[in-house]
Amino acid sequence: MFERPHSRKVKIAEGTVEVKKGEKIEGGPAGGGSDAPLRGNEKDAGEDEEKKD
Amino acid sequence: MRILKRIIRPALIAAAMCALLCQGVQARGVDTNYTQVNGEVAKGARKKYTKLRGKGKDSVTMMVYMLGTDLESQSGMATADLNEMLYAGLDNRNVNVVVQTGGCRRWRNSVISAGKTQRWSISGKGIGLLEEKKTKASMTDEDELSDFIRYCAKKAPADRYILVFWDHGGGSVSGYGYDETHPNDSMNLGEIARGLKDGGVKFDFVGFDCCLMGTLETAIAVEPYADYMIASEETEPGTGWYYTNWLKLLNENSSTNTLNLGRQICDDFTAKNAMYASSTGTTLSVVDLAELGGTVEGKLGAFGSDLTSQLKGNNYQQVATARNGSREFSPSARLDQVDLVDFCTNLNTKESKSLASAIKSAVKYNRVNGISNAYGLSIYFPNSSLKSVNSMIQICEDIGVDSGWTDGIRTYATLEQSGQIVANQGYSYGSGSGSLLDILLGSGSSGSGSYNYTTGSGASGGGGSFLGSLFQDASSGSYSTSSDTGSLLETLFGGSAASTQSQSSGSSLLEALFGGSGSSSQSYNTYDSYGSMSEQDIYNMLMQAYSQGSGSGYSNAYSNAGSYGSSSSSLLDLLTGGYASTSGSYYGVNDYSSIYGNSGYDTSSGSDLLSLAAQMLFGRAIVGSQTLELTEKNGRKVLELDEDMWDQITDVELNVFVDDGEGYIDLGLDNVMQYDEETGDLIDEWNGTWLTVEDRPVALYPISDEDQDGNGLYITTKFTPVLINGERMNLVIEFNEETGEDTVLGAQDVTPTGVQGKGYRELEEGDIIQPVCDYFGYDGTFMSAYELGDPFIVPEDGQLTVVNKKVTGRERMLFTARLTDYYQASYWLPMTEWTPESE
Repeated sequence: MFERPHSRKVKIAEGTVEVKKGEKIEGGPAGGGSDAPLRGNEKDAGEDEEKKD
Repeated sequence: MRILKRIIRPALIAAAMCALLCQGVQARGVDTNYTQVNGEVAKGARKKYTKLRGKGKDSVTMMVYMLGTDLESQSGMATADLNEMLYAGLDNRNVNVVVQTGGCRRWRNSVISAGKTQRWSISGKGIGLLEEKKTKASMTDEDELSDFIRYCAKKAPADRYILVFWDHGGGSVSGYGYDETHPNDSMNLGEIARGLKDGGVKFDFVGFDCCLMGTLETAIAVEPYADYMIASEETEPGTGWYYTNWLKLLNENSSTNTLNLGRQICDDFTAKNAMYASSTGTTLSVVDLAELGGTVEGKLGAFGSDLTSQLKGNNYQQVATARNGSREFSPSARLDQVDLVDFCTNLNTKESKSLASAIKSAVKYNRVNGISNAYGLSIYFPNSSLKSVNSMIQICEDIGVDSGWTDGIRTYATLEQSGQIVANQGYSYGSGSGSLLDILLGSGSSGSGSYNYTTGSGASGGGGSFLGSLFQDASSGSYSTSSDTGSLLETLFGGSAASTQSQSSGSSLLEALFGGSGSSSQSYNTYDSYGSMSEQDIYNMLMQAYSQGSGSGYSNAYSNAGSYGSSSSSLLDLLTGGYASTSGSYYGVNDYSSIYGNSGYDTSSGSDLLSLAAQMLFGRAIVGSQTLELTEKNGRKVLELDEDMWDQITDVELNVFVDDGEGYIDLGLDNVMQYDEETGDLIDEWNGTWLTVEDRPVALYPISDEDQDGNGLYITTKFTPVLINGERMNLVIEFNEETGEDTVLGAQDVTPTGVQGKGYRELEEGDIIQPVCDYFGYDGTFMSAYELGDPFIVPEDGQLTVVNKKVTGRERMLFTARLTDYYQASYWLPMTEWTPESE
């Protein structure tokens, strides 16, 4: 038995859904999947201060 | 009697509380619920400021600093809590309750004005206005807090003072409060301490009816001004504390023991929120600050000093493993607050055990619901994000935290950042590149950065950079790291050597290392590949660069004069101390003594620092693109790593991108990659399905993944960005292997100050939910967030269907796997185009 990072058990249903983008949203990255420092933050990752302008 | 509009039913709550308390609440992992108050006080505790006269003779003034914010304007939660206070039926002339209201655009009652800052008296007769200011003061201003305290102490001098902070909270980093009428600010711990000091009152207890303020740093900030603190390690549900019962206790006997009051507050809070917000785990504890001040703070310094010694002694992995395994609070907010006792227990050193023991003793009562390993106090310890290290160290210095501790977290952050830089995370050499070792050896990936390399057919290597991986693939279908790609010499000295590579920039690693301008005519030794290199080889390479640099005009090896990518810092600066930000500024510019203290590393020459760099490079599981090359076994592409390498990998996630003909839709990250049962290899395959909510594909990002019982069954939480009725929020989804249920827990606010919205906002029938995604151009630049597909409407029962389905895109779909190590550095496997055959 190998110790590996956990993979969740996936439930799969029948059917297919299409991935398509709609209207543009203002306000910066929503998830930042490619850039960890951006994830979950609506502010620029380069900003040092978290809360103050 | 003036009763506010929104009324909840205390009798109903009391009955439900009784039922819940009798049943008990099941927690995962170590159940840290106290069954009784610990009334003993450890040796070394200071004397309490408040000395009760007893027998109900004590006069009490309770101050409630109530920032209504969106909790009130949207949900009337402040009004509900004021009603709970009113229902206590206060008629004891010795008990005064004074509330300051403000910070809210709209009060959901007919009494309180949103246009003014107002002070109220609460009693069994109702709510009465004491004073009001026509202007809306910023209630996150510490002067406003101190003014309120002084006002109350003058208006109602007492034997016993209580202060409750009511609003959102953001823990040690962001502090207390979000004022809707004065946004973009909060009251940090240093400001809270100054506000309390200027208020001139010593409190019996200070309570935080807000999220995440149950931290050791908060306790240290408040300790000079109070005997006890009542606060929550975790986020609080919006319903917050239940005020009726404990105010009744106080009303019946104004000399009620503080610990008994605290117990009532914790018990009622736990039961109330188990009833109203069953999907949200809760914590609340009573901490004896008089004891903590005398017993804990010194031990924290010793713990920090020992931590620094361990880190300098090459024990980063042990510390990182202990940190990663500790109970973390609000992980989605990346505040990096972990339970201190749990962390100490995991570290299991003499100093950590001593500190854990002192904390356990100072926490006199602790209630949790649905959260394990939460012992009553958390602490900031950087991990998932390093952007707050500087500000947090500054706050610690402001409130007088022992420097042994700040040295410890500074050292850890430095090593983590250095480790990320080695892997080319958090620092950009050009706009895309491989790891430092890739750069040294001229291999690795680079999309459009200053260090280019050939593309073509051949063995495909992964890169340290997602961009390199994705967009090399996007432009040419494949890319290679051929054996004659740019080498150390080119990179070090910026010249053009005999290779097929080109360098679009004259900047060299030598420049990068020392921040100066390099020469292109240096001699060098070459190494063919890092597979055959020793730590000494790597050190020699770095030292060679250092020596050549010193001999060719680099008179100041630590100069910041050069330009390296978008930062003015040298790579050596960053490698050794640039943990703070990607904006070029960091703590203690060029002053390595501020990073490592006055011992441990020779700051007068680069040799010790280069030794550290060489050690880091040599000790890493993944040091460059060669490590991530896929192999084919039994017809499958797999990633094969040694077991000691796997030990360093903390997360592996599938990352899917959909090319829609104009760019890439990022579907985010899901931990669904599979491993070969016989070999343990990572299988580089995707089954073509992605998570859907109500039949709509959603972008997905990780929050937490826990197996608290160690039984192999995980509770995984992720968030998906959405618009709810036009407002940006995140849906939080739980994948529960204990129950087999996958559930949308609710929505979380995306707040601008770092303070956390209380709990989850429940979805209501008819809510219109529009999934949102990030979108990238073909050159890898982030374009914007976009709506993802069509919206859906929350059904009558509020339950949303969460399941994977096959997805299709207009053009092609690409997938990769992201591996993350214990430095929080991430690596992407080569991007693969999905075809039905690749299932």
